[in-house]
Amino acid sequence: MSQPFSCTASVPELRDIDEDNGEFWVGNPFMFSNVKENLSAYERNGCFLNDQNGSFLDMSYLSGSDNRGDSRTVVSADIDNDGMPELFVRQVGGGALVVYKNNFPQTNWLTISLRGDKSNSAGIGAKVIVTAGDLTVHRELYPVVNFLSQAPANVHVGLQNHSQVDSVKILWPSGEVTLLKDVKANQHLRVFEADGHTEAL
Amino acid sequence: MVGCDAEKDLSNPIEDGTNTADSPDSTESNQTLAIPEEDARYLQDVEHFGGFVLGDRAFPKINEAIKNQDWGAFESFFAPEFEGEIFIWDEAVTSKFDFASFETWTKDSPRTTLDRAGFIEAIKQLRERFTKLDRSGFKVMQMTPEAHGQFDKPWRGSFKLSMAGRNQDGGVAFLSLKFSCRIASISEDTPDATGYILSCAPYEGKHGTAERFLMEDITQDTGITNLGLRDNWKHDYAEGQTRPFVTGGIFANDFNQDGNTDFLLTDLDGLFFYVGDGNGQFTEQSIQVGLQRFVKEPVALVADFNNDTFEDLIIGQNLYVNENGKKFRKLTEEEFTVPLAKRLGSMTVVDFDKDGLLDFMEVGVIVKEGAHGWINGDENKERATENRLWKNLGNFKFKNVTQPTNTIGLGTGAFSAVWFDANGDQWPDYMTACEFGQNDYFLNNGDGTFRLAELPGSHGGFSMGITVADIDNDGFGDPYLANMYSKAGERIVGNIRSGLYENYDQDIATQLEEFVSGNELYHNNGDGTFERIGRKVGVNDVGWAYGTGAVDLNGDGFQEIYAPVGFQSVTEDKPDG
Repeated sequence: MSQPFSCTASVPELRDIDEDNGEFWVGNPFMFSNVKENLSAYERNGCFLNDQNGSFLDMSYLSGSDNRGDSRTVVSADIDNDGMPELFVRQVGGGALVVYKNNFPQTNWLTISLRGDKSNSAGIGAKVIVTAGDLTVHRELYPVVNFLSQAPANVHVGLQNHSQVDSVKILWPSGEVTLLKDVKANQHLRVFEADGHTEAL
Repeated sequence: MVGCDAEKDLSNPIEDGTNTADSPDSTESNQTLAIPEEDARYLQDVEHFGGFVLGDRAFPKINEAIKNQDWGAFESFFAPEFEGEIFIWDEAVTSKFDFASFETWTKDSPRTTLDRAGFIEAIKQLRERFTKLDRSGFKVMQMTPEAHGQFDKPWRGSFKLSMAGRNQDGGVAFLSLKFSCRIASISEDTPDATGYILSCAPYEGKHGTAERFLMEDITQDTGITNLGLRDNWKHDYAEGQTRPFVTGGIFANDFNQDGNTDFLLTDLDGLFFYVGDGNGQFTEQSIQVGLQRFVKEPVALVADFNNDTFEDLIIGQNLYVNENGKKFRKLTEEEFTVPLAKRLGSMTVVDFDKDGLLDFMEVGVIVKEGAHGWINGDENKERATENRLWKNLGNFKFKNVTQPTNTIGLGTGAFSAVWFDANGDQWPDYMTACEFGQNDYFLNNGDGTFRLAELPGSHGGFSMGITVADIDNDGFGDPYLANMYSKAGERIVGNIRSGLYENYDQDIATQLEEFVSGNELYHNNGDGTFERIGRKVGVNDVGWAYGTGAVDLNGDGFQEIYAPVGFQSVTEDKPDG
């Protein structure tokens, strides 16, 4: 129970353990996976709603996505092209993969993929700035590896109720800048660095 | 009962669970305690009574009484002279959305004082908000004797009361309340005792409602099956076998460029490749796309290395070139000569020098068994891990540029890395999640070299995963770190903190506090310096966390945070460490 300060340490059991009632002792916490005991067990995943004012609200339960498996990583992707991203949760226990469908009320959206020319082909490292009315969304296109996972190499932007985007600005890694004006919402576009043309996917 | 990772696992992240565990005798038992044995024994006693006897044996009975609405039984746990407080519910801070409403109360919210009967009635009314209870909890958070060593005298501490389920409107709702409390005494008899709660007062409250759950488990309907993927809850591990703490990963791609996301699932029991149809359906096509199902390597990477626009794969130590979105072909040893590490945290892709060719980094390559220290690891400066940056020279040739770029990292057990332009100079910088010490944070000088930059906090985090969001859309990424955490650990560290050891080394005390503070959100000040705001903005309190996600779930242009948690679940309704 006492915190060891070296990971090779083993803290002796200094008092009797009530094994009859399930109390257990692991002298070296790094040996936990060698013993059949709970450690941070059946914890429920957290899901936090951005309140647009720099803070978050706990919607873990309301989200319906707070399962109690031993979860390791999450990837989001819009798998049904409705612009509302799903969650793919990878776990070591309690279901190897759990997919959560997004049932939030439908909003408008825009997904951007890139085709670099001077830049790398996927435009990895580009900055995408989307403006629609009073909403400005900043994203960097990196397929984030948060822990044994990789996100899709595109940028998904929720647009609230804006059915039209005033501008999409792309700062390519090469230094090139592409500016698109008056883009229709609710589509997945590929933007080409070479001449700024777009292709609907 | 402490929370940290398993040495066996760190030494081999892709442990297949078939090796026999080291004998516990092989661990050194010297220099184990930075505190005297007498004090360690005392901490164990306090955790035994506060965490185990009260928390695991006594409080579940209170939870049962609330769940079953047995108010006679519930009342019996409170002393006749009990003094309680409860929030004035109408004084909440409310946040309303078109899909959910939230109420929050803090330590500064108005409260009202109640006697025992009044308090019982207040909890009864909360319970009656739920027509069907999915879950409930009455859990010890902190617990300490008021007077050192006097277990049979009053204790002070805190607990969390939670309920979730259907509410009277037919929607879904949750309520969680954190109370400070005073307990008359704790002994082995407490689980059968009555009248032991002397007082309690709430200091944090959360209530939320929605018409329906906002997401739903559709795994069965996607065409992706869990059959064939490792699941520790089902897998039969023999006595002495380690339970692997990673079993595989998930790697999104669009290998055929149809605009629909495809997935590579890596796994200790063999990989799967699923092709998406854009209507939420996937077809397993591992063999058809040229992969071999028996490849049992968790670490992979997706990147178009040859700029033919088709995404290539690295799986384990091999590179698979994507041939026109039809098939992957494993490059021969002559074609791909990078000696990729067998044991590492992860890989990540970047064009660090912006030459138009994608480079990649091996993150947390293990170079020295057990070299990492722990909290007081200063005397052991040996490098446990190193990051390796590979510059793409074209034609699948790569050069190890770790040394000239200064990207090897601090060697503190990196698990994963994110790239983002932290300071707005248009060059990609990187930060890692490190298990055993300060997280790497290196800024790109733009001349092919990197420099170590400062992160706030003495230690960093005992981190397992990292993502980068831009929570306020200011154009500057805000990293969110997944950290180790254990409830028992927090209680024990809390007891150290509470003045038990006044001469405790302050640096170690600070590190210990960070060890049990949960996940951390680093808010970017707009120049690549950060403020730690995880606790302030309410995203720290999740549990033992791994890879985290930033995703705009409600389509408002602002990213939500998703935090996968849970280290090792073995036996339901048994004590947890």
